[in-house]
Amino acid sequence: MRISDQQVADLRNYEVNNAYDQLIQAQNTLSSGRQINAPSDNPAGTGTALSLQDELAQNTAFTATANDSQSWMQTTTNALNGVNDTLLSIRTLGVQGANGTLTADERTALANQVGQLIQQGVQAANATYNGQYVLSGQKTLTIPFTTTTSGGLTSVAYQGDSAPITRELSPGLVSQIGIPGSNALPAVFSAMSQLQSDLLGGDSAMISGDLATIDKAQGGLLLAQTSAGAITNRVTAVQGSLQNQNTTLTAQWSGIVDANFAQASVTFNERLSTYQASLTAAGKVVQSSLMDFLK
Amino acid sequence: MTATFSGVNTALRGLEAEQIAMNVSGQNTANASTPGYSRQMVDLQTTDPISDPALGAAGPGQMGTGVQVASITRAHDSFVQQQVIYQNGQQSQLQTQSDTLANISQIFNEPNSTAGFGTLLSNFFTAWQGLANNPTDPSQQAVVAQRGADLAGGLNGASGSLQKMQEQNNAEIGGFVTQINTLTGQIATLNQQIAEVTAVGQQPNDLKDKQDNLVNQLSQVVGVQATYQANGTVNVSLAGSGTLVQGIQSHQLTTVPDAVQPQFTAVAFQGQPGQISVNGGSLGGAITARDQTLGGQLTTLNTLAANIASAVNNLQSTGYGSNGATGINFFVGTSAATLALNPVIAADNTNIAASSAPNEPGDGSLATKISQLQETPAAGQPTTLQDQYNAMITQLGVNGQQAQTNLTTGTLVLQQLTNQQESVSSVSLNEEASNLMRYQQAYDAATHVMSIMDQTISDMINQLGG
Repeated sequence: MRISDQQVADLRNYEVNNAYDQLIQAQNTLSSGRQINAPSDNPAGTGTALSLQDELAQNTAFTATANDSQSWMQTTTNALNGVNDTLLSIRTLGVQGANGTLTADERTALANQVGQLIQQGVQAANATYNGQYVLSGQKTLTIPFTTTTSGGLTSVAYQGDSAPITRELSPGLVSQIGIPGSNALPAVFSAMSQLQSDLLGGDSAMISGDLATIDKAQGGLLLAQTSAGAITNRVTAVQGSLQNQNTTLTAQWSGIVDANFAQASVTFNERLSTYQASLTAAGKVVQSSLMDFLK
Repeated sequence: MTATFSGVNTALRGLEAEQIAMNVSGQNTANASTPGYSRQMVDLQTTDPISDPALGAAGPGQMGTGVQVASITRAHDSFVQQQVIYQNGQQSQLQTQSDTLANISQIFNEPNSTAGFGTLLSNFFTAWQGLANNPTDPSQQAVVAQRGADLAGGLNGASGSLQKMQEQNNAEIGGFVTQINTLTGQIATLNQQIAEVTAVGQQPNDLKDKQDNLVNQLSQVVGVQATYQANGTVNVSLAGSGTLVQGIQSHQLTTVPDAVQPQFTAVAFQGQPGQISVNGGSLGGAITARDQTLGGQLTTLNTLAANIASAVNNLQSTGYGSNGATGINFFVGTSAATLALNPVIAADNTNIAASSAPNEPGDGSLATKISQLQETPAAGQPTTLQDQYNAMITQLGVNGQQAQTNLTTGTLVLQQLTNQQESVSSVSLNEEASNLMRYQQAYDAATHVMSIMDQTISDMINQLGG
């Protein structure tokens, strides 16, 4: 093949440019720390990375839901525990009141104490999380329990509904979070009010009967507490798995998008050598021609 | 019997021919780095022998009379030149295509887990999940409204950027048409000069080089086909769309409003009705980028925007806001450019429906359904909104990669063709030096022949006369 000087010059430019271009690409990977800087760098990898980004965003959202649900359940559990505490105190007063030797004044005093404890229990049951009542079912803006007092008798009415709060804890899985106050609590408060009424009435037998009612109501309350505990445990488990998932997803995304520095450095050095070699060759190639030998 | 001085004449012709050959070598050497220069070669021929039978009959046969330069031709491969013209057109279009796709990619900034365009979509759904957790919380309502406005704003912005790029491509068309008209005018003028030179039987070498240069330049602006005529002139036509140069006549192009998209420019022949389709070159590249690459991207983006609006609105309008309002759409507008947060919601965030039933402030089930659009496709849509977005970006990547590969391949082909062309046409200084040595030696020899003849003749005259 005939070789012209222009050809040699063009080839020299092309090879040096090419080596330089490759070197710059390797440098971009190193300095940006990413092997995919644009979708065209790796379309399939970009598709996977985008799906992982969506999953990561969902993971973040579900983690927020789980944390929120955890707090909600914490408030619910505290409220139920508070009601349980007052129920136990009231039961102690009931045991005292069942003693036939008490005077009417002493029983009235006990009934007053019961009334105060009922108020205390209602206050515990009306707990709020982030401005919402946790025991009103879905009527979260309605105070769940209200008291009316007439003739020394305290009665409690439930204002909420029986629909439980639900949350989407994991994709597609909508779970019940929270215990509606209609569940167990009206029985508890009505047992309390009954005892108060019978203390004022003074019939020891009736008071003893009320203790049985209180025990039964407490059984219901215990069930509610147990299911609250179960929900809390489930939420905790979800939090754990979301945490694991987040770590895995982040690692996968990084594996696709981020540069492998060891590999990128090796590539960069290889290309640097190639570039230097092409520069050396370009500098040395045909510096002289036959013209130099014409005399 | 031959004439006494005919040998001197023969030697003189040798001197003259070698002189011309050295001049041509000088021209080649001087143009060793001139772009588009084709090296020239002297075509040496023997002059006509003495053929008068009366003169030759007595001798041994026809007597040679020396040498002459029959023609000076240029080294040129017109087959490769045709391929270069085609490849130039492809290359400019591929370059525009590749650049356009790279610019589109930048709008979406993917993959990026914190600042990509896709985060607007995922943030939007995350906000709905937050609202589902606290359906009456004003701050969660505000977040949903803000993320909705952000998403709509992002789509508006992307659509605006794509339209801006379309306009930029469109604005270049007029300039390209002017360039084409200038070049075709010059080619036609050159055709006339070339025809005049060939008519008198000479080789218009440098004019032909200039012609090649002009056709090459033209082929970078628009895809053309060149047909070379026997008299050295070239006819140039747009592939399938009419003639630009026919002999000494050039047909001017002009711009007209596009028939389908009147806001854009189309190309037409001056004085002829109807626009023409143009392929290849920077002009074809600009039109393809405007109508197909950017236009197609806008269509995809508009579909995505319409799907987002309908998916969210279909659910939203069935729910109840914390103020009890129902039947209110979340988004207004149905294209990427017009999508916006419903002003009714922007004015009062409590209109955002999070509940499936009225007066159930703790019911966030509708908000949950909207956030579930992340996982489940909306009714009537084959895939989820995010999968639609991801597919759009992946396709963009595939197209971008393909354009880059085509561009790289095209560059290699052009490089190869240029190499072939230079192998034939470009000057080699070694070759010129070698030729010069040859010519110089022949010249020297011819002077020696002449001096020996001079000596011989003068000896004869002196001795016979003495």
